[in-house]
Amino acid sequence: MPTLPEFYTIPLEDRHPLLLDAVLAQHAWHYPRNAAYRHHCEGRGIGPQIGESDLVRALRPTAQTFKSYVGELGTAFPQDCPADFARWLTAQLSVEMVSERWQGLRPRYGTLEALLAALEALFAAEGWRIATSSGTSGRASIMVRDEATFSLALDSFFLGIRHAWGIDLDFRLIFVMPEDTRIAMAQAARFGTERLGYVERGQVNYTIPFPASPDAIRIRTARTLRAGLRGWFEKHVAAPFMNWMGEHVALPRSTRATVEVLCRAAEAGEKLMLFGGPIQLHGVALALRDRGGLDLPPGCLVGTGGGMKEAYDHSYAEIRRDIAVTLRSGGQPILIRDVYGMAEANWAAFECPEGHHHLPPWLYAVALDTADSIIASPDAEGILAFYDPYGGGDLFPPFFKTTDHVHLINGGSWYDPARACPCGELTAYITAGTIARADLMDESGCAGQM
Amino acid sequence: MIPDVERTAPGYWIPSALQERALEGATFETTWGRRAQLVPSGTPGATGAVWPVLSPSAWRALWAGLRAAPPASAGALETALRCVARRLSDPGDELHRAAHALLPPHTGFAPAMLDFAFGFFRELELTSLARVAKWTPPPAVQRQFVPMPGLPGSVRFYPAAWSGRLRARFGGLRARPAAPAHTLVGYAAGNIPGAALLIMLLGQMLVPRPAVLVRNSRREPFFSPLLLAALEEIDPALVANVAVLLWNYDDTALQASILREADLLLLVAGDAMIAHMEEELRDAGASPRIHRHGHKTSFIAVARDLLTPECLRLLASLAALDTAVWDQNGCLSPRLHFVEEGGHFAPEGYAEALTEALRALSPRLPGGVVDLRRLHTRFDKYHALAAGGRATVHSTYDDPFLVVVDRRPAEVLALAEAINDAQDRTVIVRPVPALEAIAHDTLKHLPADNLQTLSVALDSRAPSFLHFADSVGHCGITALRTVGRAAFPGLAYSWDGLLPCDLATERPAGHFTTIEFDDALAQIEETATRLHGWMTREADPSHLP
Repeated sequence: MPTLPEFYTIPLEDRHPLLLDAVLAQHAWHYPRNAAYRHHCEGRGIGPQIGESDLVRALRPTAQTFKSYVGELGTAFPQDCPADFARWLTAQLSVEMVSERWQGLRPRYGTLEALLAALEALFAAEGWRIATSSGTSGRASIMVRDEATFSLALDSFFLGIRHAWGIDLDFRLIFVMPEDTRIAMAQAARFGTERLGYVERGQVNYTIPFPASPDAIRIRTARTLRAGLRGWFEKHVAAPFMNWMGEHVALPRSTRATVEVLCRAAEAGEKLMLFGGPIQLHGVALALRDRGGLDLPPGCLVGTGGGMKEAYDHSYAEIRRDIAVTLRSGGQPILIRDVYGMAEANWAAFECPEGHHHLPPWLYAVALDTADSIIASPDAEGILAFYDPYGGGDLFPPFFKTTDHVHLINGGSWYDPARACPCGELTAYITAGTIARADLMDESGCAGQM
Repeated sequence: MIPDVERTAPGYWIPSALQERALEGATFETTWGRRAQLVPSGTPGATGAVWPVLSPSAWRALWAGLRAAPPASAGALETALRCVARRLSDPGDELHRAAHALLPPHTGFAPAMLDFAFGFFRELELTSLARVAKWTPPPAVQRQFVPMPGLPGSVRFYPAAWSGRLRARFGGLRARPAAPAHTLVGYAAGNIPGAALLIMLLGQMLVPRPAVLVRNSRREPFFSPLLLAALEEIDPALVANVAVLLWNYDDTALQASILREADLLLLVAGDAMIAHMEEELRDAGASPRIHRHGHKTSFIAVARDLLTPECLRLLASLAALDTAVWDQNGCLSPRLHFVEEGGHFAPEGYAEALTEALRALSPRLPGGVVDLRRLHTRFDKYHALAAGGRATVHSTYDDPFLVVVDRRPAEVLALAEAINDAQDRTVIVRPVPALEAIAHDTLKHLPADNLQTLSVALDSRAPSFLHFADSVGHCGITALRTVGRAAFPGLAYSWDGLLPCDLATERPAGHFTTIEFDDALAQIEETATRLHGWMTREADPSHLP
C-alpha cells in the first residue's frame, strides 16, 4: 500500500485505478462494521459489494453525517444524555465498542466540552481526539479520530504545507488562532507542530489568548441556545458579553501579540508562516500599516483558512491586498496563499501561485451535477465530493459530499493534460475563486423559508 | 436591435398604440436566464428577455397613454382570457409554441407542467372577482364567518391589533371606500409564471380602471407579455391601460419616480425585497396604499375519518397533485401535511399512499426544477433520523420526490427545519392527535405573517368545522381550500389575507380568512374525478379545475 508522499510520484494512469480499487475495498470493509454507514447504504439501495457506478451512492453529506446526533437524540446538547450520545457515536464508527466502555460516563455533563473531554479520557488508549466543525450554527459536527486516523491527518496537512508552500522545519509558525480548541484545523495545527518538533524547538506561537470551546462558540454565535432562563441568559447576557470581549479584548490582544511576534521574528531574521482566518489577519495587517509595514526575511508566507464566516466590511480580495501592502518578505509583497478544508476531511487543498486550490493526489475528488450524479469530465462544475481511501483512516468511511459548489479540473478519473495547472502540479484542482457555499436554506420564490 | 431571435423574446409589454411614443429613443438590454437562474450571455441553453430602457420623456408619454385608456368590462376580459387560454393549450397555435419555446428553458419547468397549469386561466372567473372587488364586507365579518357574494364559502376578518379585537366585540369591521387608485404599480415575483398577469387582472377590477404598471420578473419574464399581446389581439381596449416592464432596481432615481406615481402598490415578492421596497418608498417620499404578498407557507390537514380504504387513495392523489404542481415552488404548495392519528390508516399509511400517488403522477408532471442533489441530501437526513425512530422514510433514494413521516416533537426549530426541508417535492407528514391541535401545537408557533393556505381533507358539515377554521384563521392562515386545489387559487378569495375589495377600501390592519367551499367532501370528490379523468385520458388540463 503506497504511503501518502508516494502518491506525488505515482503516474496518473496508475493512480486512478489504485484509488478506485481502494475506495471499493474500503466500502466493503466499512459496510459490515459501521452501522450508520450500512444504514445509509441500505437507504440508497447498495449492499456490501459495489461497483464504480454505485460510487455516488456511498457519499454522505458533510453537513449532516457527524451532526445527525441532533436529530437522532432530539437535542443539540448531547452533554444532557451522554449514554444516548455514546450509542449514536458507536453507530458512527467502524470499530467494535463494548458498552462497558461507556459506563464510565456520568449521567450528564455541564458542557459539551466536558463530555468530549470525558470521552477522550475513556478512550485514551486508542488515542481518541475529538474535533468539531467551527460550529457557527451552534450545532457542531463532532468528529472522532483515533491515533491512526489523526496521524494520517497530520501527515496529510503538513505534507501538503511542505509540498505546496515549501514550509519546512526551519520555519517559525505563527497561528492567529487559539491553542486550546477543538476546531479541526486548529487542532491539527497544534498536534502537528508538536509531533514535528516545532513546539519543542520553540518555533510556534498561538496568538488568540482565550480558548474556544464548542460551548463558547455556540453561545457567542447565539443561534442555538439553551431553553428557559439559561437560554435567556446566554442570549441576552453571555453572548453580548462574549462578543464585546472578542471585539474589544481578544481581537486587540491577539493582534498585538501577532504583531509583536512578527516584529521579533523580523529582527531575528527568522523565516515564518503566518496563518489565520482572513478577518483576524486583516486586523494584523491594519495594525502593521499604522506602523509603516514590516519587512520579513525572504521566503515568508501568509496562509489564510476558514473563509469569511462573519459579515465583514472588506472582501477577501481587499484583505489580501492590504496584507500584501503591509507585509513584505525579502523586500517583495509577501506571498499569500489560502487553504481549503473542512472538519470532516483528513486533507486540505492548498492554493498554488496561479490561485487554484490543489487537492492531494491520494484523494479521489469529483463534482456532482444537479441530478446528484458524478460529472464525468475533466472540467466539472458542481458540488465537491471526495473519497479519501488512503488518508481518511479506518474509523469511518471517508466518502463525503460537501456543501461547496466548485469548478473542479482533472478530478476523479478524468484527466486532460491541456487543462493541467500552469503551476506545474499535476493534481486535480479547484479553479481560483470558485468555491461557493451552496446554502441548503435557499429560497423558492414566495414559498417562504422560516 | 434584437441580437438573437432564436433565443430571445420581449420581457416587456406596452400597448401597441403607445409603443411608438414610449419606445422613442429607447435602448434595449437583454437579461439571460436558464432554469430559473440568471446567467451570462452566451450560456448554452439560455434564453434572453429583451427590455427597453425608456427615456424620461418616453416615461411621461407612457404614463399619459396608460391613464387615457378607454374602459373595458370584466366580462369581456374573462371571455378574451378564456379564448387565450384555449390558444395556450392548442399545440398547433403560435401562442402555445412561443410559450413552450421560451418558458421551459428559462424557468426550468417541464412543458407538461406548463400545459397542466395553464388550465387555470381557462376557468378564471373574472366576473366573480369583479363582484368581490365591489363588495363591502359587513361588520359581522369580524365576529363570524359570513357568506361571500355569489360564491361558495365564507370569510372572516381577523384584526391584527388588540384594539381591533376589542372593537370586534362591540362594532365589527369598519371598512370605508379608499380614495380611487388612478395608478397601480406592481412588482411581480417569478417563482411561477404569470404573477404580473395576476396583478394586472386585479387592477382591471377597479372602477375606474387605473393605469397599471408591473415590474416584470427576470426569472420568468415571458409569460405575461405573451398573454397580454394575445389579449390585445382580441380587443386592444382590454389591456390598453397596462404596461409590463423591466428596470434595474439599483436605478434609484427611476424607481423613486415610479413609486411616486403609485396610488396603490402590489408587492408580490420575497420578504427581503418587500422590506427593500418599503425603504425605497420612504426615500422617495411616496405613500401609496400597499398590498404585500411575501413569503408564504401552506399546509394540508387530513381528518382521521377520511383515512379509510375507500378514501385514502383518492386523497393521496390530490395531495400528490398539490405537491407536484410547480415543483413545490408556489406559495400554495403544501409544506407540512398534518394527519390526524386514530383513523383506519395511521399517518404512515397516508405517507405510503402518497408515495404511490407521487410515483404515478411524476411521469405525467415531471419535476423540471426539482434539485435531486438537495433531495438526496434531505433523503439522507431523514433516513438517518429514521435510525433513531424519530421518522420514517416512505420513498426510495431513486424516487424524484421524498415522503417522510416526521415524529419529532413539535418544537419551533424542528418545525421550521421541516418547513424549510419541504422543497423539491418533499412531503413532510406530521402526525397530530386531533385536527384541533394544529393551531395550538404548531401554527401558533410560526410567524403569522408567513402563513397562507390550509388545504383540508375533512367533512366541513361537521359542527366542529367552523371552530377549527376559526382556530387556524386566528393563527394567520388566510385560506382554507380543499386538498387538490392548491394549484388553482380562486382569485376572488383571500390572497394572503387580502380580498379583492381591499383594492378599493380601507380597513384596520388584519387579514381575511376565506373558506373556499360549501361542502368540502363534495368538492374533493369533484376534484378527484377530474384528476382521475386527466390521469386516465389524454393529458388535457381541461379535466382539472
